[in-house]
Amino acid sequence: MRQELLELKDQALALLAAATDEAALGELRTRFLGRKGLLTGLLRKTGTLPPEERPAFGQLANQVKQELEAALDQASEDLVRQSRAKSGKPGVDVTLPGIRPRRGRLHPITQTERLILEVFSRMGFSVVETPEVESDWYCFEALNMPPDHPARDMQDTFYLSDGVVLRTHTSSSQIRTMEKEPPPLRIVCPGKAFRRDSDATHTPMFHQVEGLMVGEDISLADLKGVLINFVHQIFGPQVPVRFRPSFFPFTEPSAEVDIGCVVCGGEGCRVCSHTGWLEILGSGMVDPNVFKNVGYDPDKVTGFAFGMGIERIAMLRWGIDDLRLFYDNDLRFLRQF
Amino acid sequence: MLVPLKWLREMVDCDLTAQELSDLLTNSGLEVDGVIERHSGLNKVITAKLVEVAPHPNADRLRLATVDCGGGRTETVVCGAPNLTVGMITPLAQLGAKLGEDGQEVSKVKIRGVQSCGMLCSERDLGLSDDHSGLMVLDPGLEPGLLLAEVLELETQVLEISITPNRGDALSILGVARDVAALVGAELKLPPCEPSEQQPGIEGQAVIEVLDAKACPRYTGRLVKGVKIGPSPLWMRDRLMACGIRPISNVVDVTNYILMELGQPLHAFNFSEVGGAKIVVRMASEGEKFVTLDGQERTLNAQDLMICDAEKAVGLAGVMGGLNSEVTDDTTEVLIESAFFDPLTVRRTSKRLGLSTEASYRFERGIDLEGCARANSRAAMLMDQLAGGKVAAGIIDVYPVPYQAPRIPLSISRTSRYLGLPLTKEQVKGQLERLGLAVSDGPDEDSIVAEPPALRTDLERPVDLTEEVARMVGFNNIPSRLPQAEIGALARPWPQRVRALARDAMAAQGLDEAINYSFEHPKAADRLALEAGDYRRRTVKLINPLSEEQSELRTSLLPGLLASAARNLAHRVLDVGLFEIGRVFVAQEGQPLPEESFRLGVVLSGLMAPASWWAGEQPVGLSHVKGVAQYLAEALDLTGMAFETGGEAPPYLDPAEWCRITINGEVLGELGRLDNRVAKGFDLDRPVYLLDAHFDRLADLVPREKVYAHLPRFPELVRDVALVVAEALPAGEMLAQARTYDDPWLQSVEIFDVYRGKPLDKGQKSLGLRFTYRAEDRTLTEEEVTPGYQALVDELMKSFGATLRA
Repeated sequence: MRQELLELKDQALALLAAATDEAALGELRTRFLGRKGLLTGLLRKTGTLPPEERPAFGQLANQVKQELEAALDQASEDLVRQSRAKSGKPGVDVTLPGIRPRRGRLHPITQTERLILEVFSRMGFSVVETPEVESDWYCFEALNMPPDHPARDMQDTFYLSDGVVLRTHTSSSQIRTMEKEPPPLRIVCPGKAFRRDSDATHTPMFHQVEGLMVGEDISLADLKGVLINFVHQIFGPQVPVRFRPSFFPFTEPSAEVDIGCVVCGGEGCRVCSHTGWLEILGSGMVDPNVFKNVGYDPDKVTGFAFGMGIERIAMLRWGIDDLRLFYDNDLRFLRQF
Repeated sequence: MLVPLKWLREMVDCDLTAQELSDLLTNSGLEVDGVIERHSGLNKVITAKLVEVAPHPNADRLRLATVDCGGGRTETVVCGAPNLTVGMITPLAQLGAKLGEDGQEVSKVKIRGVQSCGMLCSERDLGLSDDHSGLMVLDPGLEPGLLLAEVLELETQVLEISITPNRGDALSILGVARDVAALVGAELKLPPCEPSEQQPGIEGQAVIEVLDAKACPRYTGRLVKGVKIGPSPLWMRDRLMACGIRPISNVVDVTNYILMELGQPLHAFNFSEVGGAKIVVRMASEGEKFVTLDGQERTLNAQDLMICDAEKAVGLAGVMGGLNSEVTDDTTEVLIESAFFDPLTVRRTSKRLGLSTEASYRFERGIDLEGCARANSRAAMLMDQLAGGKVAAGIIDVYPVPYQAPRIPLSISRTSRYLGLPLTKEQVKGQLERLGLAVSDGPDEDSIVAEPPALRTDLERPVDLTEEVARMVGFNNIPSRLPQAEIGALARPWPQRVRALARDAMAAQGLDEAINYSFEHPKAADRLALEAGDYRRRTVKLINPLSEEQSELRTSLLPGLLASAARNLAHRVLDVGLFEIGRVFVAQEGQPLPEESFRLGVVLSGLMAPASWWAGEQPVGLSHVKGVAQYLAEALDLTGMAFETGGEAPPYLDPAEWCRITINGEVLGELGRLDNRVAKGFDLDRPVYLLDAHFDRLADLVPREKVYAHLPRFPELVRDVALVVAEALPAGEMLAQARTYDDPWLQSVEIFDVYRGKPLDKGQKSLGLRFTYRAEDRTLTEEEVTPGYQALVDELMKSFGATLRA
């Protein structure tokens, strides 16, 4: 009889596997588990067994019953899933676009500024902001550009009145910060700057990030380390970096920093004027005169400063070829970032 | 600056290619922007010997020239030039040569039925001069078949170098050669400067008197007589053109040649026009008038340095000569001026008069005080050689205080630390000596003393020498390391943090960030119809704007945002949601600097979100722009924001759709619909909604701390009611009254529905209110809440004449 029970189970499971609709499942349930069902019938015969076998048989029969019930339930759920999978839910169209709020975008300049500041913040630089309208002192004189200095020709300045200018660079932030804070210092200063220049590669307003680190024995090697690290974080660790002597009145020595052209990989292309290099920032060791102007002792502290155009970095990052797009606020442009 | 390579190589032996030289110079501070290839059209032009001339069978004016092209090859060329002479050597443009500015290719053509295999050329054909009178006549001793550009030693490659303002010494071929020599360790070869003196001494023939030695520390003069003005030789003209200078005549060209070669500006006076044979260097008198070489009359002041003769001014020192003493075709006697003028004096004059010349550019940056006499002698020598001049013996050299080199001490250990590069004394010494500095040992083991030559006016302090050492080592050979420093950083200033949060909150609402110029049109305030006393009329004007449109600083973000919206609408981008957080500038009475403050501006037009299948089209309205403000308040944890309508609307807003934004009673801005007339002025023909708020003040009110509230332990109980009221009733009034209703369990009241239409009468609306009740200590039952709820509903019905919606 035990054998009979197990055969019954196998038979039921085989039929179950072949059942394709709810009706067939119902029929199987009645046939095997119903009050007049085959399993029930077999159970009724328990009394015919010797008393010592009855508990074990009873246990087995129960187990088979539970197993079959579970299998039937499972098959029934499977059928429901199969049918939903086939026909879907009426009124639900998965191919319709999802319901979502509109997403706005931060200006590419803001995004790039954040990226730059984030890199320097991780290196322990604090973010400082200072006015856009500046006195001659903060914009030029304290930065070692006395009146009549030829270096003033390098930057065409907007004047608001005698001695009041729209800052031509964010370097003015250096002076304002050093006047207030004692060394050591590590700051980055983002903001707008203005030069009297307007063509395909210049807009009269643009954005810069200025950086300054001052302390004991800060060296040109430190400057290189920080800026190479910056370039590698922004453009990738494989990008070559080159330092070229240059001139800024407020640094000595001064260096322009070039990176291997990210467009052509250094082969030479239109973007890099076929040099394989792109100029991305100016830098240098803070000129002792600047320290004197803010009351720092150039015999005790040294430091480096750097400045970069945010537009330039944004253009390289995204392959933007027209500077003026940044200020048209054309949504077809802004929504790309 | 343009540096022709052959010229450069005359002064320094080095076999580097143009590209290698470019890299070398760029990496040591003279940035090469590019290498200009010249005469590339001449790569197929050779010397040819005319062996036979025959008449053209079909044309009287043309002839058939048979030329020997070298290597036993001859070609027949049709030619119309008048000066065909058998035996002459003349340039032949072979087939494939590209001549002229348009690079037209010489090809095999039949001219009047006769095949011509090339073209015999005039100087103009070759781009060498304007001479088109006949074929160019070359040295008859030349072999045929040689490349013309090589035979003529034309400058085919020119380095284009950006010279930084500190490197006045490098504004010449010699200056660049000096750096090259130092970098590659080659010898610098100075060009010869010994004129053969065939005239009686200059002393007694001319007098030079310097009245202001500070403005003119050195003035030298040489006299050349018997010059014959004519064109310069081709090689000189070619070099000048390679430097971007137009050749004029041999005498003038010599001065320009020396200017380029040695960096010493010279002036050649027509000596016969120099009254009293005397040069006086003095400051101009106030208001003095002077006509410069360019024919312009200039008004001078007492800070301008003048070159005068015994009677009149003849030159504006260091800037430009005078028309009255110009070298002309009839000039035979030339007085050459080679002087050092004070950089600041020249700069002031040049700036004030807006007159910048090759000479003033160099004087401003400092020339070689010690090189004046040498340059003068070289000029005299070349005028002898090229213009047949006879040089008077001797030179007048007014040089009262000879150059005294500064003695600059330099600590080797400090230099090493400054650069982060260990250096030995020998290395430093060697590098500075290669640059022409005299170096001696300093007072201690660690230091040296260096004396720069006069031409290096940029070297004054130890740090300047450090830069020279770094330049010679090469910045790329200096190690790179990350600095060691204390890790402390300043806290991010509060306004910066709030601005960042606010920008994110605006973008999260679907608005795109705009950045407009800080400039503004002077008419902007009128366009906004602002009243006469409005603070936004207190603009700061630019003294030197680029255009009227950008001639003031903005006092409001609105004009920029409205213009941005209009541009988008013009592009048929009709759904505009832009925000800007930026500075505005308001002039402050009695203060040199304007007040700068951040404002927040928003402009909305079209649909708030793209039309969608779930929400359809939602044209923006007042509630959207108000929602923007409320969302922002929520994002910044700003409490107490309210919206008021009483009083006068700002003139640029529609008085029917606007409100003031307040926080705790303080007005922080406005929002509403753009007034129709104002909209027209901005070319906006669709409804536009605006928000303008004082962002700095808003940021001040953002709480810096936040204290967590315990989570409620008991559930809330919600009761809804729909009340029918008159259409004109502002929902906010009912809401405000409900919210202040005294019921300790009432947690919040919100409007969840506004309904108009059947079965309500016209002029009625139904407001759905949701009351939320909760007690701190137990679960409330319906029975407990009902009396209070009922009383509140009754009160609202009574206060606002409302009825329960059926």
